Amino acid sequence: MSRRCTRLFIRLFLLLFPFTVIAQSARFDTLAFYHHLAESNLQREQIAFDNLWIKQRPHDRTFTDSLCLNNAVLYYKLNLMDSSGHSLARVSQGNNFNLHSERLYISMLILHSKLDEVQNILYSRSNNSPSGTFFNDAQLSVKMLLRRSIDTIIPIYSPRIKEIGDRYEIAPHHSPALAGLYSAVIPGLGKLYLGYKYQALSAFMVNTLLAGQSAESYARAGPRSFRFIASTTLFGLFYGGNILGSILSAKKQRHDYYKQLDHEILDFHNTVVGKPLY
Amino acid sequence: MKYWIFIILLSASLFTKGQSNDSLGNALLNAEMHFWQAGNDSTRYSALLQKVHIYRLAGLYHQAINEVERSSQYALKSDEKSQLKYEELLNNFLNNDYGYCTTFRFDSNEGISYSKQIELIQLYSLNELQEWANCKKEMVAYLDKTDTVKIKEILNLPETYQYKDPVKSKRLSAFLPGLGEIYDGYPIKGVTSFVITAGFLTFAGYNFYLHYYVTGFFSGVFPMTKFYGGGKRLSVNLADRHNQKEINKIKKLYSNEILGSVK
Repeated sequence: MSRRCTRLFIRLFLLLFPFTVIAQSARFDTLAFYHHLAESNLQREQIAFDNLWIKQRPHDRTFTDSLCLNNAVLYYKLNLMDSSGHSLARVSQGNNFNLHSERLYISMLILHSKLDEVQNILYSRSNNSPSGTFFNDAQLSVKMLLRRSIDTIIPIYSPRIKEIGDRYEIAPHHSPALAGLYSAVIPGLGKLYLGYKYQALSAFMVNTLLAGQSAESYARAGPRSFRFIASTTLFGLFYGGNILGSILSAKKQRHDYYKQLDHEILDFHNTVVGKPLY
Repeated sequence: MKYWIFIILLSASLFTKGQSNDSLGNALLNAEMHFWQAGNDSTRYSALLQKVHIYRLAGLYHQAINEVERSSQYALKSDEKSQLKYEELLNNFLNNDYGYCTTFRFDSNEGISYSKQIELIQLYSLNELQEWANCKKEMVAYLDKTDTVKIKEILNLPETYQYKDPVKSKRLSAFLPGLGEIYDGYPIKGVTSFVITAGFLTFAGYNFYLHYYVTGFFSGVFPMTKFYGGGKRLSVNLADRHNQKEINKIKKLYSNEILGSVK
């Protein structure tokens, strides 16, 4: 083979090489493969595939945003919360999601307790979102999670959120100071005021018996006896502890009630993301 | 210099940890891509089997079992079927599903490869399920009949242990505080329980004798009843603890013998 002929071959090869590579890659139907991964519920593989594409097209924000959101959801379904949060943080602020993706994005932000970001999004779209949509539900969810007074004017979309909102309105508002005062007057009365019947009975019994013990010691052994001092100290401790317990119970009761509602709000957003609850 | 070495090693370890999840996903994705691009069932089978191995090594046994199910339609040769059965059994064993392993049976058309490994897993499963009589029988069946020393050693293995009935123990503690604990094999706990309960009872009696009725009731009878009830619950827990200890002891004995019997 002549030198000229060899050069021609080399040039031809260099010219055709990129086409062969493209032709080979074109044979791999990316979209079909992605559908296959989604249909087969292969979540780890989907995440790896998304990451591959994010690395390949890092400057295409719309594209990477949707892949990052998808990864965040997949990691969340795999119970890998840190990775899910990391993927969610990679979604850019001014993203261009469609309605479905935006719902998903807001629910994911709520599940990751990024309530300020949700508020910003909802505030920015408050003018162009019709009333009685998911976005109203999200607004109400954030208000409830942030312990702010809920706005009854907001038209609610989901009956579940409506039910949670109604229960939020009737949250227990027992005063801790009043519970403590009642317990100081009659041991156990504070607990009864909070609605804990058995605890009230138990506190009353114990305090009465301890008081009886102190009185008995006073009557039989005198005020300077060891018996009287020991039993009175014990009674004082139980009496004070009962007052303190009533105050803390009042605070805990409200806290627990709100925690339960928070849990149910997050459950609602769990269903939006599509994760099985238990 | 040493600080730099420390920082580099720490960064390297953090980087490796951070990457581990990605590398698992990438390995799975590669295998899935091989499966997707495969031209025949044999290649598809190999790709899915690779995924089974990856999941097993990552400790995700449930997912590994799912992949075994997926690959079963591509296993055409008897060796491949046999290998899949083995993988299914192994992953169920690692997933603590011992009941499945003991009821597992080979079809005649699935070949006899991996028979030793399967025997081993089944023996270990029988041991975990505390079916020691069956385990012993199976071990003897696998052994060479001329190896009488080994057979005798296996036949001498215990099949039962000294079971302590929690209900009986509770009843004994109810009859006399501390007696249940002694029956369970914990005499010091039993004596302590008896001394505490008797001490409170004596204190109550002493107060009643001195006409301190409220003190006697509240500081004597009340704590005594609490300790009495607690002693009964303790005796039940101790019986369970004793039984678990005995079970573990026998399991260890069998584990040692199983490895020796299936060579």
